[in-house]
Amino acid sequence: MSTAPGTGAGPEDEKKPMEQHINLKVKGQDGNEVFFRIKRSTQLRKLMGAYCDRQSVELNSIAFLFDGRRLRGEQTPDEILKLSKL
Amino acid sequence: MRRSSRIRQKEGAAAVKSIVTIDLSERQNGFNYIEASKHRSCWVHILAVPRRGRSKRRVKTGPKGKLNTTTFHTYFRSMWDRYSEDKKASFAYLDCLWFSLYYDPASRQKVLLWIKKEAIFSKAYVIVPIVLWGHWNLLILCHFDQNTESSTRRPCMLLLDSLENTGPRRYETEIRKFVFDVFQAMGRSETKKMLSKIPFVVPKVPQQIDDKECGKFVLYFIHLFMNNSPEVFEAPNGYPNFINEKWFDRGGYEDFCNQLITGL
Repeated sequence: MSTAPGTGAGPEDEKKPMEQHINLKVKGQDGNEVFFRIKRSTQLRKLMGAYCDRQSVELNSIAFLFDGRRLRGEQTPDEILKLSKL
Repeated sequence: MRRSSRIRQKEGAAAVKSIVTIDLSERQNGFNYIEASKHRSCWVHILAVPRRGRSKRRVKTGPKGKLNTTTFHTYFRSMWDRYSEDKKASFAYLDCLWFSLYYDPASRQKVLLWIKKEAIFSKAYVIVPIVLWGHWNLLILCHFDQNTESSTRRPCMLLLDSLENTGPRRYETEIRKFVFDVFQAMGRSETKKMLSKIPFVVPKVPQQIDDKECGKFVLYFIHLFMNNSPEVFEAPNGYPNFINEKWFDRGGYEDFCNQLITGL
């Protein structure tokens, strides 16, 4: 999986300013997709909150999974990508 | 015009209808949304799943109401983390959301991919909490590390249901299909016919007395099973001999629930 659109660079390459951000797609069970652009070092809590705001649901009524694993609000995109490589 | 703000919504182009940009510290010069939309693999995919089995009570009130999947997961993990490595070596578990996601055809293939990575069939026991239609059950795949023909530790499936009146056998077809799909996803050669010979057992277990206890019963079943499961067990009359209606007393269960709140 590459993460920087248009460049194909891996997530570990963080030197260019563009690659400080990451594109994330959140897919709901109804198939609805919401696209986010977020800093790699930003806690996912922000994304979760923004997603719930848009979907008009409560944060504590939704679980977020990445590769089947639960995401916690305090995790960052960098952290979850590192974990998924293990 | 783009303006810097902590969270804002932006109208994108083509297939990407909108991109929410969070924590934007600089102008996004050079970012091409049309290009991004063409490369679906460039997006990291996250799945948002409604929590199941949720009561109207908030999570913070402790395990008084029905457990939702997140609370269940938290309690389960806190139990799991306290077991010794030796003990954990005989067990694998699936996240409590996975079976219900498997049940949904839209996410079925995804779940099978996740399970494939877990190598669950190298363990003596696989714990599969199930929550469907707001009710918790516990499926335990026993001895799936053995050949289906093994005589000493024969594979079997146990379904523990604290609400027997709801007919736990109604899950059997779907569970057998699930097991077959998992075998297939793992590239195993067992045929449907071979797998159909694996016994599906619904032992008599203590029953819940209100409509909210099923999740906690499942946690307690896991707790007892992990503490008491022998290396080999007999299943005369189709019931494993160490699981029965007298498996636990109410007092032990209530102590367990209290310990859940205090972190075990």
